[in-house]
Amino acid sequence: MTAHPAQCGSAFWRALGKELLLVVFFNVLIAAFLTVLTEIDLRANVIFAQSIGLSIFTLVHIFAYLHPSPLGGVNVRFFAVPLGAICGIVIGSLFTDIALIDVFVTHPRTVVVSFSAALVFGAIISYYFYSRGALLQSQTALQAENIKRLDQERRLTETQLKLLQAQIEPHFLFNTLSNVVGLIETDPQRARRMLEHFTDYLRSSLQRTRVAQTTLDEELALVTAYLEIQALRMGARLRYHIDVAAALRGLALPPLLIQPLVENAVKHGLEPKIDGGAVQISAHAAGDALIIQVIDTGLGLRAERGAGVGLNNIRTRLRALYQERGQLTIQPHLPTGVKVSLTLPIVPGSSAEIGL
Amino acid sequence: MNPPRAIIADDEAPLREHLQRQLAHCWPQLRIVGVAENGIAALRMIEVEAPELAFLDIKMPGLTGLEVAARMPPACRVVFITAYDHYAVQAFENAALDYLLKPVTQERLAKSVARLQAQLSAAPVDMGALLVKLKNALETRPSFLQWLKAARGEDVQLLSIDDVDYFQAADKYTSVFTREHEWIIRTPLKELEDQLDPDKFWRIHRNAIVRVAAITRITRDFQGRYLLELREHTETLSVSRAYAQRFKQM
Repeated sequence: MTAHPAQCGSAFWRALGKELLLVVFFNVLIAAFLTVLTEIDLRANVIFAQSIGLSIFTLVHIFAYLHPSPLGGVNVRFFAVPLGAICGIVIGSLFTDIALIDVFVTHPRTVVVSFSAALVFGAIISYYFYSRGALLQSQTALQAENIKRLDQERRLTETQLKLLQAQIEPHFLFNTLSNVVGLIETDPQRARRMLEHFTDYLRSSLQRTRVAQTTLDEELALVTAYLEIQALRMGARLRYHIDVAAALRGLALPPLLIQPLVENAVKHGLEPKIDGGAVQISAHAAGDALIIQVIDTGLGLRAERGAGVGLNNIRTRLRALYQERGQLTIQPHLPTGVKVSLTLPIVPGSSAEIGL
Repeated sequence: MNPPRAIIADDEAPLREHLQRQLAHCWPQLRIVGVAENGIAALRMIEVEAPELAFLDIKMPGLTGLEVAARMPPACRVVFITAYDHYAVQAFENAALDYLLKPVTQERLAKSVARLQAQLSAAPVDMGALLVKLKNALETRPSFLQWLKAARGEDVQLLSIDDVDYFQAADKYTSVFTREHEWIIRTPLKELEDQLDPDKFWRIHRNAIVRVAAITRITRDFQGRYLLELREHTETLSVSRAYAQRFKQM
């Protein structure tokens, strides 16, 4: 019984053909067996065996086609055996000179033996094919599942690698150091502040890439260090505001979800804008979901702004970790700028959740 | 001979001031006639002051250093300033243009200054071709389209290309079908096709492009045309004869 005939394809028809040949072969065997057991001759037995066997075969597949679902399918399909046996006996009688009525009268024992043989063999053979089909199907499903899992693992590893590479961008590193060098003589206080923030930034981002889970608070500390450095560079062109209730700050969070969003807002939204602008980071709980928003008043949505890698990285990780419950939406912010919203399920406590 | 004059353009104040001090030390005769904090101000300053030299940061708001260089009068020589970037360094080396890496060190600046002093007596070279080369080198990071700015009623979002199952051309716009919704973008299908990864998206009709991975079933109708069924979508897409070749091999 080949599974799921609804999915037509050359493989399906090949399997069906093979099954048909096997059925014909079994029928011959059964006929030979019955010839030994009853007084009917071999020719009649072969005809009956084939007509019964092929009827069962046909009915089983018709039933399977009508009810492809495995659970309902099992029950329905096994009605095919007695029904096929009856059909087969009727058809068989048409091909031989044995009139059915006569046989019932003259050889009642033969009728009983033939019918029970049809039932028993039919059931055995159908069950054989069914379980073989089910086995094949579950193996295929298992294989597909394995491929999917491996693919997901590969993606996670790739994303993690990219994350590590992207984290401390040489451009940012050198730019910050240039500023420190520039400030040392004229404004040693500011130079020192910048170095301190930079140390914070390096320390937490290096830690961050090694752990699977941080908290919202730790992520915000990284974001703050980053924004402080940028504010020293950009002066009045960058203002920022973080609005997250203390109650939410302890929530577990995969690392580096918010930082790349803030970096995008500064790099692509505010830095290229002559007057600069503001970044606002906020978080709130909605039911069992945590919604984090990063809003900037920068240049706004431009599909070509090339923020792809960072955003794709976040998207891939959200999908891998939370499936449909993890969302990233990017919308225009009015009158100008971009609003990015992250939605993810609230993970109670610091449970051993897999992550990056 | 009048002392040479220069302007400095950089959006970061500490860096402007630092370079100014370094130049005062390395090249005391050089007169800094102005400092600008964005590309537009820099260009205006060059036009007004007509300096012999301009120190231009590459990444500035308004206009980039490259854009300023391309628009300013050719009599002015340019030294670009950039923070470390592998691509940028490569591009500058190839284009043989003067550049300074941040943080600018005294030694490196002294070398640049020596070269500039030698060059000032000669006529400035035309940078046009070099700038084009440089611009191409800095901007060529070939990649396929990743995000689409799409609208659905009042809602405008940046859609990830990975969420798109198929595109369909309509009258004056293109419909984008994701699993849940139909979105609208302005990019015509033809233009879109060139920006999509050809391994992932196939053109199947004059008016449709489909994500290969979204196809769940391929059937043929009585005329022998291929019909595609897509996951999560009820609509069946037909493959026109011109694009049927790919499906014949399957």
